[in-house]
Amino acid sequence: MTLLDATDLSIGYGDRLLASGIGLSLDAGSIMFLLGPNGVGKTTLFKTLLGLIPAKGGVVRLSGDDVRQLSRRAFAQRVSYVPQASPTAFAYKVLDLVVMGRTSHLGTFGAPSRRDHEQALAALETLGIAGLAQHETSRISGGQLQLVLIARALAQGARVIFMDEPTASLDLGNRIMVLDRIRKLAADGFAVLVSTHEPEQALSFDAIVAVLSKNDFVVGRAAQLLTSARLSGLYGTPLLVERTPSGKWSVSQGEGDIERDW
Amino acid sequence: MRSHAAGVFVLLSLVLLAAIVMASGVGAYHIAPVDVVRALIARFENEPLPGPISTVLFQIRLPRILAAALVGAALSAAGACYQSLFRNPLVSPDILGVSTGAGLGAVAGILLGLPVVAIQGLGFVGGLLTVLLVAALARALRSGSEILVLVLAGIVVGALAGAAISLIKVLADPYEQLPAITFWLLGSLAAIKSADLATCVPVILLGLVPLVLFRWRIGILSLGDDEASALGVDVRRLRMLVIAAATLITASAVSISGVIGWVGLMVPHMARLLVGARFDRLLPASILLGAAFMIAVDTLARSAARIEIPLGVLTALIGGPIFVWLLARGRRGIVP
Repeated sequence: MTLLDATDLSIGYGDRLLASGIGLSLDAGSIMFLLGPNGVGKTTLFKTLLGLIPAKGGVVRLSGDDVRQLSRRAFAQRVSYVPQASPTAFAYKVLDLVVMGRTSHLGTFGAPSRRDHEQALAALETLGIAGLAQHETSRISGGQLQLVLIARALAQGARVIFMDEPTASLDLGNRIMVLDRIRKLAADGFAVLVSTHEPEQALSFDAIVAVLSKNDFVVGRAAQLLTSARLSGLYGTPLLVERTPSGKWSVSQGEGDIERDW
Repeated sequence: MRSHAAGVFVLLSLVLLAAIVMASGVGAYHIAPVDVVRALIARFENEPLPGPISTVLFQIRLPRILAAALVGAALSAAGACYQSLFRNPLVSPDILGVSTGAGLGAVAGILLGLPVVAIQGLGFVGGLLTVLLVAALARALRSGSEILVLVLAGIVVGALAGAAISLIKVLADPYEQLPAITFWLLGSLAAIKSADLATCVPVILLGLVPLVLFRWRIGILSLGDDEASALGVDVRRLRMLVIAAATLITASAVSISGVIGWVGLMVPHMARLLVGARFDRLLPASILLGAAFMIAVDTLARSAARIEIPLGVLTALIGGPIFVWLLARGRRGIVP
């Protein structure tokens, strides 16, 4: 079932048009990785799909409904956003931060009820971090905070989850843990869009990838799309994509010179 | 956790009531707390009271105490809201220059010999223009630290407003207007009358009620625009509402009490120690605590010495050290 689809989308901000002719669709139970070098508009595309920046053209639909017809609240009930873990301005407790995910289900003047707190706690349990509920967010690790933000997205109850470089700045153990949770979310029927700078992640998931470069936008299976040639062109440096005998993917520095794709 | 917060609210309400009763008794004409309570009950039941108690209590002290509570609640609520809105625990109406801007408007009103309502109106316009200017400056100059730029912009705009106030002082009539302006800039409730309250109470409530109603969503704003939007909050509209309401109550408070610093910065921090960072609990706690704090300070101002001590002097004397203590504590998680 298609939860999100974008057709002939043009993106940009102010007077600047960054890319156009973008089309993609996201099905329930699938993971899509969004790849692209810095400066081509990956973040702008991500924010446009999230409804934070208006599209310059084209349509984004959520379960068939044009997002321009949806209120901020209705949008939030269908799409949630997991930002990169960064410190909050105030010393919120983990449960406080997660229960904020319930905002789109509250009345205009409402505050979370006991039931909302139970749902927040259930989201923490799903991610195996219910023990952190009463901890201050400033005193947990970056990996734990990233899981807390994922829990907040679960509490929000939207079927589509956007994640902005969820493994950036995490150590190896936390990185594997977070990726593992993302896999489980898809298995549970969520549609997950992950913005990343790490092609190996997409390859190891054998997920759908959307690749935005200066010149084009392509969508396809990671193993077919992320070839040595394409990645080398994309990132402007010789790269070698290999499959190890044990079936793992590796992307490493290749040989020779290449002309950068921008 | 919720029951803990509820307990704190009951406690703060009792503290506020106690502050009102105690403050009513303090002064040249001493009234025992029991007699204050008796007089209040008699008043509600429309029974006659012995002359002096009734006059002292209902003509002089209670209007002033009510004004102090209102000003304290308003400045603290505005401080808490600005902190959440600007995602910055170090902003307050005075640091953002709003108090000085409102002061400039009100002082201009005094210079022009305008009625109280017009002085309040000019105070509001001055405060609003200041906060818009500060926000625009901070946006235009945004570089590494947004917080730093915001505070610096507030200092710059506040300094400009301060210069304009000095100019007005030079222009003002040295016998009538200048003493009024000077005393007023230091903050005082000495000249408060029931009539001032009649115009001020509705305006402050008009600003306070929406802030309390939207308290949950205002807390969400502290996560930043993108996250708040993605959580379903209409950020632009809510932010405009909060700026208008918080500036309205700051300006109204300034217009009856003069410029009183520190309260809007310090009280939300003290409230955070009691109920935690969650804004839906922080706002009511700040309102109750701010009201009680201001009553205590104003009672000290009128009873500690032979002369009235300016409120701004007292809040700085009390607020400075407390704030340093809060910052020292901050290393253990209050100010991240």
